[in-house]
Amino acid sequence: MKPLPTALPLERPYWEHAQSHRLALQRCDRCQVFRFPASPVCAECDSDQYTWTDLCGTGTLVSWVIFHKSYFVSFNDAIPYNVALVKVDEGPILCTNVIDIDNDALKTGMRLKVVFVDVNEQFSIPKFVPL
Amino acid sequence: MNGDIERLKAMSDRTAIVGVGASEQGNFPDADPYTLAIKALRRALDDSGLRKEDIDGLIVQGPGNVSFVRMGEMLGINPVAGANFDLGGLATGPLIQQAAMMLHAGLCRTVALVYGNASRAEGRRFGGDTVVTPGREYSSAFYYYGLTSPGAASAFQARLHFETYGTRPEQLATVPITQRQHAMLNPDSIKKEALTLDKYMTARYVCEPLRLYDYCLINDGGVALIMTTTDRARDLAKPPVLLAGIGRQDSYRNSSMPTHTLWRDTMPRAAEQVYAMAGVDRTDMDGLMVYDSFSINIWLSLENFGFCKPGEAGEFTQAGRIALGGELPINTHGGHLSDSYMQGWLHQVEAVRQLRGEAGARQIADARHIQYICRGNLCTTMIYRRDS
Repeated sequence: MKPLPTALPLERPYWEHAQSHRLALQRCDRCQVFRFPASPVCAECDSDQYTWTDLCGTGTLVSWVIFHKSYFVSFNDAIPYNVALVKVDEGPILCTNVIDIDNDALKTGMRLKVVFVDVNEQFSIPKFVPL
Repeated sequence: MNGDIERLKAMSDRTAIVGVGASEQGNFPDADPYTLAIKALRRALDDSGLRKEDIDGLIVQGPGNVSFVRMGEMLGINPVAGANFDLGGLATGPLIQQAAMMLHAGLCRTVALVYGNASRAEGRRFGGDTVVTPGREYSSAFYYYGLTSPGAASAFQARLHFETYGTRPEQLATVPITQRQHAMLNPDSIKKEALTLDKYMTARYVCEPLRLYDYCLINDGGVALIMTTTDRARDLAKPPVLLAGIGRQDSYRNSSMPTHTLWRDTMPRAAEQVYAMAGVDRTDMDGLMVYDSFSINIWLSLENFGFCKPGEAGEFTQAGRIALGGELPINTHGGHLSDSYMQGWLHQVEAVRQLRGEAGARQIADARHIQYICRGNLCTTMIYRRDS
């Protein structure tokens, strides 16, 4: 089985939203800036007030790599697979996989949208597909 | 400007490396990091003319949390102070800087920095489900996407560089090919067979766009340095190599992910600090020792320290400029890519040997200043100066 997320209590709402196929991040109540990964305080304005807020689910491809060597037995069959950095339209950069695309077709700046892959009852993992 | 530059300037040239030593480097199935480190320490002590009993500061490093207390127990010494900082190669600069501060502050008189690495013997993996220490979250926070290994983080950097500036793998190849030429002049290096562009380009990808020869070796070995204050150093066996400048700048924001900024906003601050402290400019450097876990490190170090502009390193490194005999020789021992993977410690040894004129066939003529640069989310740099 592939590794599962190990969530701090602070990060649980991210995964609870993902369970119902919603991509949500903390948004600062004071300066409205979204943040990822989770933090108890806003790195921009230091406010500790925030609201988990649904994102529109689209973003652009910033950078990506393709694994040709497998470091996890559970990923052996996935080789070669990509790992990507995607800048969501709300600002933060997420780490993810881009699926339903040939690795050769990945292109900087391409538009992507989130989909959810159900792994088990607890975790649905956000991934991205071409828009 | 970072820190208090006047206080830093007062520390310039006040501490020195007086002894260097290394064990044999290679694959030793029965090796352990302590034995390798102690072999290196004996050679470094012999090199300096000091004895084990002179050590009153003990700094220890090695993959897998090599213990400074256990090391001291084996050596049979009770120093004033010991330290460890298990951040892999990111810790090498910080530990040397810590030794300088311990000496300059008067806490200790003679610091031994001892490094043991039995990664090959232990079958250590730099990726996969391993224990990851703080500072390296960028390669461990997203295992569920299959993201792991420092190499993948560097592959992201190479991709960003290629995509943003139109640079090419054939240009990046110059780094490992040049360092292999240097290693072939170094009797102690592990890799001695020539590396051609064709061999580089046809080698397998590990994490694309990085190929096999963009990656460091994994091997066993030990390294040791002896540092003391400059006034004491001048009475010892070899000409001291002075620590003229230190610089550091960390980047914690967005550190859970492979960098998307290439540290453009942070690394230049370490550069500014080190040149101001040492009172010299980058054009005074006779050679660079650049932390090269991956070839792309050289490009980012050159660009972010102002040797060329962002995006220009692909072109800058061509036509022999970074080779021995060129304008700015880099990693004249072969570096991690071809000499040995001692996480930056042999880079310090090479800097010392170059400044002493002990580098044999790979000697940089009349070397006076050598700079060490380690890029990354814990960026450190040192300028070493020949005593005049």
